[in-house]
Amino acid sequence: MKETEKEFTNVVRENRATIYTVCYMFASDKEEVEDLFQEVLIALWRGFESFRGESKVSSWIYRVALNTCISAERKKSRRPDTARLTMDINLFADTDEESRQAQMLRQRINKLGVFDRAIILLWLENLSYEEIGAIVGITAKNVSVRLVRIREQLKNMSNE
Amino acid sequence: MNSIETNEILEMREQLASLKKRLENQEIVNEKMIREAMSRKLSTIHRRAMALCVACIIGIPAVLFTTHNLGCSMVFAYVTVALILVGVVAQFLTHYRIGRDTLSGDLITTYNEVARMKRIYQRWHYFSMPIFVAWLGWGAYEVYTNVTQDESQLYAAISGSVVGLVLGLIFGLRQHRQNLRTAKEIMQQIETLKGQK
Repeated sequence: MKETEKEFTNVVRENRATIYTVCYMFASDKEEVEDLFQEVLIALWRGFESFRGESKVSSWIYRVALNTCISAERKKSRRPDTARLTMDINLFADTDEESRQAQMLRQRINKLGVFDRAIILLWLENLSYEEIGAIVGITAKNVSVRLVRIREQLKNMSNE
Repeated sequence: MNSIETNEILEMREQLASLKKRLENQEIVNEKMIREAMSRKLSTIHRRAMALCVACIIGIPAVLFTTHNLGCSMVFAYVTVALILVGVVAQFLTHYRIGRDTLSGDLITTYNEVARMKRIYQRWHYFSMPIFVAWLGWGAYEVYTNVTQDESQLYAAISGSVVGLVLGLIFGLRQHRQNLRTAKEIMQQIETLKGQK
């Protein structure tokens, strides 16, 4: 395996939970998560050689993953030979308390518009307004204003 | 940051932290998946465009051969080839700005690029569909005047084509409207985000 491929594999393995979380928040079922995850990996690999570390690796991963999930064309059917994710949990079907909490989180986030989904997810991950702004493409001030509106939306949703 | 913490937000933070912790204990991504990604250098959207281009280029000799065998005029054959070439050029023009690093950019810039590509697709459909229908009619006329002698076969062929065309149009229009609606919604969200004061 070439050095670049090894580096890429390490980056993907280290950030697998982040990539999965983003895909999970934008997908409607397990198959869609798998498709999105694969698309994110392809996009990451395509941009990997030109990624010069100008931003943090995690910020770059977020940008690519969120961009892929927002822009992806949803496929009607999967290719049967495509590799599957290696997981012994199914966050869409499992009924244990932790899975239920994850489903509740996804349902809440999924009701928001795609950019609001990205903003709240990044904020819940404790990124600063500046970092969120750089990923989304708006100012830190706009991030703070948007977050207030998102909070109101979430509050209204839980009152419904 | 704490000023906008609410019960919902606190609960969501806990849910996300718990989810990430669980995911950290999962392998999730395996060797095969990473290898597949590294071998597929084109995203789905680019692959589809490239496949269409290759199919069109391979299709040119097939079109010339078929039209010649069916007894169609050379004008019809050349116009068909010209239309295929226009389609290939349109595919390239639509995709050339979506480069390798596009998805590494910020969300709004990237979506604007993708939206530009989708808008060109939509305009392309307005232009290509009437031409396709006209070409189909011309093709039917060519086949009718040059080849078919058996009326029952002719009617069967025309009925089949019309049914296929109508079903294709219905499906295409539904997809087109859905795409337009999604793109419009996202563009409205971008405007809202940019307009925050």
